[in-house]
Amino acid sequence: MSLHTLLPRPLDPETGPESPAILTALLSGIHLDRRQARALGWRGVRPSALHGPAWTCRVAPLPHIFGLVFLDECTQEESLHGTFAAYVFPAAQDALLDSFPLRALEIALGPDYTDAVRELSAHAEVLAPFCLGQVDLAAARDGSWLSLALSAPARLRLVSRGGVPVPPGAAAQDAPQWLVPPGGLECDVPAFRLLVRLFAALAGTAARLLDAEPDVRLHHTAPAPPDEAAAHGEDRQLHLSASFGSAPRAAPAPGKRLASLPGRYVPRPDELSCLPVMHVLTGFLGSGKTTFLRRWLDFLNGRERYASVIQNEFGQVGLDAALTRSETRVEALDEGCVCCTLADALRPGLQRLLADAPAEQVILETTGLANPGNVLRSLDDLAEFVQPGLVITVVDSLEWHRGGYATQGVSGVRLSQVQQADVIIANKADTLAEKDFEDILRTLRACNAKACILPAVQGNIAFARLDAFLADWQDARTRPPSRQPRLPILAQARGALGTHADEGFASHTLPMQAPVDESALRRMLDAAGPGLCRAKGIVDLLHAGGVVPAVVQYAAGQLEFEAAPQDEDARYLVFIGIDLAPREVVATARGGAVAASPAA
Amino acid sequence: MNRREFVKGAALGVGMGAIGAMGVYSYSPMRRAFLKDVKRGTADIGVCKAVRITNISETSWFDNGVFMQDVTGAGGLLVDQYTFNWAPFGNGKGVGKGSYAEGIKQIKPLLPNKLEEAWAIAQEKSVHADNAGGFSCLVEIEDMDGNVTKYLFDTGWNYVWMDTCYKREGIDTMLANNEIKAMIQTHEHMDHFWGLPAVTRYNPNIHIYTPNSFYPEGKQYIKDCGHVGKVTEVPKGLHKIQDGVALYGFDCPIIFRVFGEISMYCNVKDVGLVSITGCCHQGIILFADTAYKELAYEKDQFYGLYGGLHISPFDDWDPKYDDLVIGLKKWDLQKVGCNHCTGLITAQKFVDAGYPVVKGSARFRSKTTNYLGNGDVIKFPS
Repeated sequence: MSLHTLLPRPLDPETGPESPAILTALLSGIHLDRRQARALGWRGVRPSALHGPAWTCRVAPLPHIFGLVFLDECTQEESLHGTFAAYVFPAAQDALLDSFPLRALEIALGPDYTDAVRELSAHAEVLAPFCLGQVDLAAARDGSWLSLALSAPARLRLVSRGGVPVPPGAAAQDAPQWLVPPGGLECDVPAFRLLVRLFAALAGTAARLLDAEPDVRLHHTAPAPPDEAAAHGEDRQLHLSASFGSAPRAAPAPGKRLASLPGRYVPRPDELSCLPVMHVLTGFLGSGKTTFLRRWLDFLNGRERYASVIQNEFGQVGLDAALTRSETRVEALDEGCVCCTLADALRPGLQRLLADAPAEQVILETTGLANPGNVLRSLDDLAEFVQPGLVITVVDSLEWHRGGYATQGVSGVRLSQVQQADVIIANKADTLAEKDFEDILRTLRACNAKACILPAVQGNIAFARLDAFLADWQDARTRPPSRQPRLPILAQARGALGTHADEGFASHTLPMQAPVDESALRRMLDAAGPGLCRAKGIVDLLHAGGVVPAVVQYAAGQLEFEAAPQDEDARYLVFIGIDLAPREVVATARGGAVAASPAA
Repeated sequence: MNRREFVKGAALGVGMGAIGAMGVYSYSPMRRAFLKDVKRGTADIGVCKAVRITNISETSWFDNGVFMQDVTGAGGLLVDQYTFNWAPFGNGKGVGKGSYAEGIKQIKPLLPNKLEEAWAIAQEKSVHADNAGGFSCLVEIEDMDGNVTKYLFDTGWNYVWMDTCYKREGIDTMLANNEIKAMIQTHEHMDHFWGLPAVTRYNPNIHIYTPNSFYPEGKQYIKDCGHVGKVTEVPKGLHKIQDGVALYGFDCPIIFRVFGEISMYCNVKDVGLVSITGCCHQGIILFADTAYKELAYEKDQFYGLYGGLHISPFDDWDPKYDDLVIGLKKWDLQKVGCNHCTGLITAQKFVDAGYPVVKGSARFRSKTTNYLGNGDVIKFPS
């Protein structure tokens, strides 16, 4: 092995400490392949460098935040030796915190705990009560070996000689007067058992990146001598080391050799699988699915996490695919709805996409009318291609408000989309008064108690929460809400059999070759009748004396325009709804320009 | 009374002194010299008067779907960029089956002067050559006496595209006239580096700065492009290049087998710090933290930011913070020009969040006015 594979330059401690650079190379290097990092247990890392090099991170299966703070480095002729303080930060409500020093508990219950932990570099000293051990990193200057070691007490125990009395007046009458009796344990933290998880992830990372098996050794030493003010009742110190490459002859790692690294995260089969995760994106007509999808893709692309998209539109022309193309690989399934008529059509589309570009995730954007229950059933048949991900439903808060769903209840496709979601995006939050929006959130919660409900404007959310939500279910080794078995409800069972034509939903597509102005568009929308739910398309819009190619979006009574993609030549409008007026009637409503256009 | 009630009482003053009365003792089991006292902001790089940046090209590739297909087709993000069979190093064997040696052999005799011929060969032998664009900008530093020093920041990717862009902005003449003092090669990625002959054709003597962690292929390519000038390999940490201007070498592994990235900090008199990045693969958080920790800058103000803004190589352990808009908030930036790998929607979110984003003109294939786009200029201060 050679450190050169980690750090492709000579080690040069004269230009500054190299052990933080090696740690950076380990932590960043493993995260270039996210799947690999997660299989080693990493659940997020945050560098913090306001004061000196420091990192906070999570390592599965523990829920706590770990911290590493660079302390010091010394160099010898042929090697360098760096030390890092190792911290454990349980959540404020975690019972584990009750075994930590009182000072740690006091900090954790204070208002700034999370912020201080996030900026560990600047608050390392204040957070010292959470420091449970030390990680040492040693490396040969010629890169021929690397050694990592964890030192921590088996249990961090501090004896309070004078005891900690309960303040006068605060104790109930017969209650003990001591919070900690004289000579009792002020804290008793299983330090080594906690930190070994962090260490195992680090050493496992080194093993993976260096492509070398570590020499693992464990030994213990006597507890540190008590200091002046308090007796250390701490257990023996444990020292666990993992060495890679030709171990230094001068100082071989002491202790008993272990067959493997203790405390390593055991990945689940799905974490080792190379199959992409398939998410299902639903939402009623005009709720903002495609806008949400484009933002999500931007988030994923920015992290080089490539996703492919299958878009299914109810209507003949694929506008959504036109809007998403050039950002990712898109497969359009036009005409009809994937949840009823096209269940088998998914397979070839999916195969094409994955053969074309094997993405980490596939997002299936269903039509606004799709019932996710039907889609999920057909996904079971695709287990050889994809792993099931989340069902995400985008809800148009404005439409729900106008429809009175908060007070009168909601039914049909809208209800089943929300009921079967893992994540509900309460979109268009900015269009409602705060109280009205809260009513919508309450209604959504009543429809689906287990889903993660995220308010959004223009489809914007903290997208990392999608992964985190799925990962939390998976780490708990349970299924997310949409995949939990449930009793089929009557409407759902019927939905599985019928098509949307049975519910009266239909679509018209009108070509729009000639330029059109907003008032003519509004006349057409009116002419389509009260059953119109959604209209969209691309037109040449007459505006301010000129002609601009524009995407038309109409939903929940609101007509909006945005700039059309440059390379899209088709001009059309799709109308979707129940009991729509005949297409000739809609086309005629356009008025003057209709004669010049072969519209109908 | 349990420990939590006790601590809450202590906070309210009921148990005041109780925790203190336990005596001063070390909570650190190590009990050794804990943290060294590091003073922040001690490095003084001097000051300059103004910084002007012309975006020559920020469009690295034109269709992300096509790019993604190449990446996944070759085996993913860890694959060595020289083996993708991307232009100009194509060998005709298809995606993922290239090598620097085979690729350069086809075009080396044509470099750097017969770029169009070289690129025509690359188009034939490589995958999706026409999807390549590139990242490059011109940084002009005005010193306190009013003298202007020009630096070229990166060299893009596609020979023909970059040559067109350089001519559009007059960079060809500046290079030929020795008006550009040096070229800062921020990192080894194809879209920042492989267009090098479009620079060396006009000035093979130009002084080039690179990270000291270039791979052998990258070092060889500089020579193969006909470069005969000085090369400075910048080590990790701060590296002052003139009054008010310093490069900073960040050690970070990057996708496609690249390591290390240089960024630039400029200390503008009476204004504050202006930071310039190529991609910022080290992550914006580390980039900003490092400046805060190490540099002394005017008014202690993090004034301006230009370039591609990668948020972090990691997922955050708290997903609600995994957002560039949140990550940059505390720095109270006064002027931002973003583009390239920032992301169209991220740029939109900056605008929506009220960030002082300098809008561009969306010309020359830049996709949005939220980007400081191709041919656009940003000045610090205005």
